[in-house]
Amino acid sequence: MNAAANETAVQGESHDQAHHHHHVHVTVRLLPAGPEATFELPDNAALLEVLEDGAKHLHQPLLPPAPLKPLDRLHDISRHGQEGPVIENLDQTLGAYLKEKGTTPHFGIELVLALRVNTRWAVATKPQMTPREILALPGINLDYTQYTLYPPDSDKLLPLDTPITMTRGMAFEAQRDGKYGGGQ
Amino acid sequence: MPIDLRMTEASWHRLRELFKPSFRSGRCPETGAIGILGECRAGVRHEFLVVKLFEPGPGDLKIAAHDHLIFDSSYIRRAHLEMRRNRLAGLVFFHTHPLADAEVGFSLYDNREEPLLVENLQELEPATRVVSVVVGKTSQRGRLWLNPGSRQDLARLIVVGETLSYWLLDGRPASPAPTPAALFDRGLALTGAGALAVLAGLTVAVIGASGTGSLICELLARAGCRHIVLIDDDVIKIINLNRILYATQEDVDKGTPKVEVIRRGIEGLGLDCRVEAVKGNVLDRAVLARLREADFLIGCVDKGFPRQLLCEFAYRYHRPYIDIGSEIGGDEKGIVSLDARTSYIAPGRPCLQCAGVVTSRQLHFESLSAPERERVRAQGYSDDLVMDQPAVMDLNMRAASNGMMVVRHLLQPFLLTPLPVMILENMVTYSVKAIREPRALNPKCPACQANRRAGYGDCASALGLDEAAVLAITGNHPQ
Amino acid sequence: MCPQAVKDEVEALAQRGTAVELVEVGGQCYVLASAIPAPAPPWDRQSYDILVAIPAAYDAASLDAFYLALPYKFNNGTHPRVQGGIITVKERQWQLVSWHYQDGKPWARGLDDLASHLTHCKGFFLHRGAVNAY
Repeated sequence: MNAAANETAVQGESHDQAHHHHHVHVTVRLLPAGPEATFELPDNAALLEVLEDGAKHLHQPLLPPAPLKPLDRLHDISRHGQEGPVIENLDQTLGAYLKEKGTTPHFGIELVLALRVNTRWAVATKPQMTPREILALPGINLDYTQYTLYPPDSDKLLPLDTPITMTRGMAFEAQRDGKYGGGQ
Repeated sequence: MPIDLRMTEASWHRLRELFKPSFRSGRCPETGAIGILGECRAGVRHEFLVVKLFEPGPGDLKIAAHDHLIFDSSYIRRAHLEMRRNRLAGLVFFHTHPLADAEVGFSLYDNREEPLLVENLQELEPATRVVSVVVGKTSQRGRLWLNPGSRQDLARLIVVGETLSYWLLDGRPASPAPTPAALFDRGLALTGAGALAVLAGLTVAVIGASGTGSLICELLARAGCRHIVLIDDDVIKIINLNRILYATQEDVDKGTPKVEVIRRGIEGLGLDCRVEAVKGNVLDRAVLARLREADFLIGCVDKGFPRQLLCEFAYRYHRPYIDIGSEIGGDEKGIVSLDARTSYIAPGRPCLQCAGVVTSRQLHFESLSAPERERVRAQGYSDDLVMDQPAVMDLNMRAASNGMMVVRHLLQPFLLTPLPVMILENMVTYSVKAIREPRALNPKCPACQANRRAGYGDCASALGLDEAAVLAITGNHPQ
Repeated sequence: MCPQAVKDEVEALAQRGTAVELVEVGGQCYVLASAIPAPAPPWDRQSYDILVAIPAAYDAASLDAFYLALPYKFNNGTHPRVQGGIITVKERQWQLVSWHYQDGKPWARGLDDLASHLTHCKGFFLHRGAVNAY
């Protein structure tokens, strides 16, 4: 192994001299205290891939499903095994991330209370939400005065201010009123 | 390609009743209704068919003021769910502009708001097409939204029922109707004014190119029809020479298809009538599908199964269907009846089974495979079903002539309405009878009384049989 | 070849435990109904299989008659209504039985269907069929 490779070597790293890529052994754990999986990725893989592959290895579908960008979150795990903050920039490569001080190839996946309204996805902000609150979520952004929420394939409207217990992956359909006007 | 909207007379009349409050004097409210749509695309024809209207109930119109209207989301939702469940093509929104006097058009507000509704409906179900019709006092305008950013004007509203009427959807008032006498004006018959001008723009499907079929084609051409789709799978034989127009001995020798003989004859008249000769069996799915190109059908067949299929087609595609036939009845003493029959089938009217023209027993016999039919025939139980149809031009002429009268009436009513279930002319007793009641009405008839696919058009599985099944019935199936 | 209406009905009947299946032979659709009960005597066994020809226009078209699986014995001989053509289906021979709806009770579209026709066919094996044999 040459000196340059020595400098950048971290635990579990292997060197592919033919393609000049390092492969990194990463571990991914389902937060808060779920199962763990270990697998390899090239260091030029984006952190998004860590999230996606990690979820596959843990048999946990992400939401929203591909090709949309998942709302589920990737956290770093410290050397002491503590859950760190959410990693916001998932476009950065694994290699670049690992060069930052204090980072490790250990990650945690947080599955959020993702919900869908029509084709729009958002994260529930609390375990129970009203249709009024759901429609106002960032990512949903529908005016409650013009849209009404329904369960999928049902014509039984969900009353605007009646709380609904949120579950991950819950789907709703929002129907708009039809507005016409000859004099306007 | 022009796009039309087609609906039954019953639905159109219900809409007109619903819209009346918008057009009284004073400040009248806007109103509206929603429908679900089937679709028909064939050749240069593209239509949306109104399957069902959802009339607004309490709360369905959130606001109905003199200058604006809001369809409540629950009303739209009910219609959209049914459209989705039945895999239909889309929704149609009708609304009125009470202030529109002569001409009517979509307002700036409509133009701003409607794309948002289209976007929402297509988010829920991407295949949803949205048709919109604004109705004024004396005119209507229609458009189709392919997506929130793209729309196309509709050409015509076609209303099918006791008559066949065409309303432009360009927002302008209709031209005044011509006088009924113009229907029979010798000059106008060819120059094509008024109702006959409508005929000149229509495509008529004639199914059956034997005696009656050849006559009806002649009558259509001489009345100003410019486009006939003629269907038959048979060739000229010696026994046809007594009654098929334009058939010659040379055609017998060559085995010329009947449709070709009539095409040659009609196009040779110089009346600018084009005949598309389709050599095929109308039981065949691919041949039956050609009827979608037609505005109405005239059946000149001599069997029950094609008649049954033509009825099902008429209800599926909201097409008027005139069926004509003739029958000679006799007993040991001689001829007791020489019947020329004309039946008119359309949405809201009974089918030929309910009318008693076709029986389920006859359909059983006709639609068995040829070998199976022979075994049944050998039992002797079906002797009454094996009937040779009459083959004389003079009797066929009476049936064709009555059929043509119904065609004229559809375009501009002059006969007593409503049309009877059947018109029976019996030469032996010198009588013309109007049979007003269906002779075998089945309240659960899946064709005319309880048809769950009426107006579906292409949105339901294709009618007719595959080629192998047709060959089996006609006796050509490879064993 | 088999009309969709009969496919739907066979599926529904099969789900309810009725032994029926669709067979296509020589361009003709049939329903094979197994184990139709028969009183023995006068029949030589307690159940028979039958074939019902399904016309292409079903369910606008009615159903009528049926084929009886051969061999059979009725009162140690033959039944006069079993007199039609013989066909081979699924390596067995079947003979057409003249068993029809009476004028006073014809097939009723929208009410009668494959299930009611099988019930009608069962009547052939019972007392009514035996009494009408001669």
